[in-house]
Amino acid sequence: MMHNPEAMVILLVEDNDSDAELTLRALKKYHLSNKIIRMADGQEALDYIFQPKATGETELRANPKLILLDLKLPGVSGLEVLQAVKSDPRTRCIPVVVLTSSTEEEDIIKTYQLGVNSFISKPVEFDDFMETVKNLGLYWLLLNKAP
Amino acid sequence: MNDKAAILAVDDTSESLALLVRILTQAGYQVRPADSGELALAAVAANLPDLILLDIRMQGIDGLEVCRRLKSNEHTQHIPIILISAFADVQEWVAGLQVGAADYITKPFQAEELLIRVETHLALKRARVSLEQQASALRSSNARLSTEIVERKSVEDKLRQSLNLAEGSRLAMLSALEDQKEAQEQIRLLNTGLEQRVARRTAQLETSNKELESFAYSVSHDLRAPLRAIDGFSRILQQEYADKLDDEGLRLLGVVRNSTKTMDQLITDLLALSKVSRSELKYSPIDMTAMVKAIYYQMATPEVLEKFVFTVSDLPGANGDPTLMRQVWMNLISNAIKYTLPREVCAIQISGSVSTGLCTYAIKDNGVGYNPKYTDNIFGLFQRLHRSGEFEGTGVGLAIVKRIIHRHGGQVWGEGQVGAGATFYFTLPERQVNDA
Repeated sequence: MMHNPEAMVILLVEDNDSDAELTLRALKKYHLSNKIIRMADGQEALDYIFQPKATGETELRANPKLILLDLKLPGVSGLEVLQAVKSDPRTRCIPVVVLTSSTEEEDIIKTYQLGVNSFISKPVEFDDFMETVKNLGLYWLLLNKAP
Repeated sequence: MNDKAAILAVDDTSESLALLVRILTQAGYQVRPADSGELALAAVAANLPDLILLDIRMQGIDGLEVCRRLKSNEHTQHIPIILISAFADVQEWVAGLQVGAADYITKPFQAEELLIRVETHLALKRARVSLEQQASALRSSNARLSTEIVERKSVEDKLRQSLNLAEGSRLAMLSALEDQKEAQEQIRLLNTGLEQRVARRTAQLETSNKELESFAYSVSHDLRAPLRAIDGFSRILQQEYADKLDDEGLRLLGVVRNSTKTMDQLITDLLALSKVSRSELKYSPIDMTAMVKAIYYQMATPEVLEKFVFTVSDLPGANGDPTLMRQVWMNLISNAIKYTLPREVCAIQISGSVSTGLCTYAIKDNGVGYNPKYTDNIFGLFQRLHRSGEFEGTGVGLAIVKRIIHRHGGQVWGEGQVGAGATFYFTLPERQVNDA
């Protein structure tokens, strides 16, 4: 199932290329992960985690250490991805951090109701953004040990 | 026999006259004798007899002439006249009938014959009189009936008129009822229409509210993403390609990054403004004095704390949305600090009062002030009275203050002079005891 138990795979689900590139740079700069997988929409992300089988069931293909999830995605939305991950016992424990530029209260409330582990808004200023990525990455990857 | 019938006997021969008088008197009649035509006419004029026995051949006015005269007078024409002649002369008899005589008798006559003829004509006359009386009675009753008919007709006409009037009133009432019904129906229709219009309008407002919300969401999300890219990649250029850029290149990159910061601030402020309009007010009692102090000491940098003399008098408590009210004070205090900081000595004074159900709050500074000409403009969106190089800001802060205060049912205004500081006031309805 997992190719390398030591690898700290981070799954980044982000449709905006610029945001994805900046996030990847930040994660790499602080050496937070040696393997980052980026998916550009919600369906891609779900297919990556839950591989569909002929029986109609799914096989867990990947078990990332952290999912960085943009809320506003084309097609399957970030909220739907979050719900799928948090409602499956096999993936429920993967920390999910919602990354969005929206600061609407409704979004924040909904994500917490669905079991999000953290919610951060993407600041426009690059330095702040780097700092945020560094902090959340460190926290969830190094300090917070999933049961 | 009836009451004695009065008979006028006319003959110019005295024996004949005496004989007539004797026979008639014996038969029980009242007899008046006349021995000439003239006398006969005078007697008739004086007193009408029931019957006249008239000798034809007389000196002076003869019998035929008397008869003619009497028959041509309406008062006397009905008196039956029996002509008496000495000869049976058919021509004379015809002449007598022609002038209206009733009968004709020749001398010498039998007493019985005379009496029978007299009695017959008297009976005829009585019958005629009786008939005339009956006819007259009939005529008068006829006339009465006619009058009655006319009267009845007139009564009937009046009744009909009354009926027509009544019918008219009935129709008028019916039509009034109809009118009323129609008016009620129209009112009902109007009400229904109004309700529908209100419902439609409400639905439209709800739709446009939803659109506004989704617009705000898009603004916050979509406008920020490219800004993030501009700032992020500029920053990477600055950090990783600094050795390949000269000073001017680096300065230009700095301008790019400053502009993105300004635009981000604009978006943030716009969202805050739209949130103020959209969010539901959550009222609770607010200790304004404590709130003002907390905000000031949170916002004040060490430089500000050192330079400023900050005084707050006891402020009246308010009833409002604490989040929004905090935003009001933050905007007003940050403005006061911003526009006063260039001064040597800086002072901010916050005070409040209650009067006639209104709480008034004032924040006074001794900063750069503003031209009172623009006092109405400063609460407008994106209205700035200073060049952007002088003071930072997007011109949204006071617009937000105005919206929040208006939503709380209060007013806001400012007083200022260039170089002589500014004072901003706002009012709120006084907190009721049961609000606390």
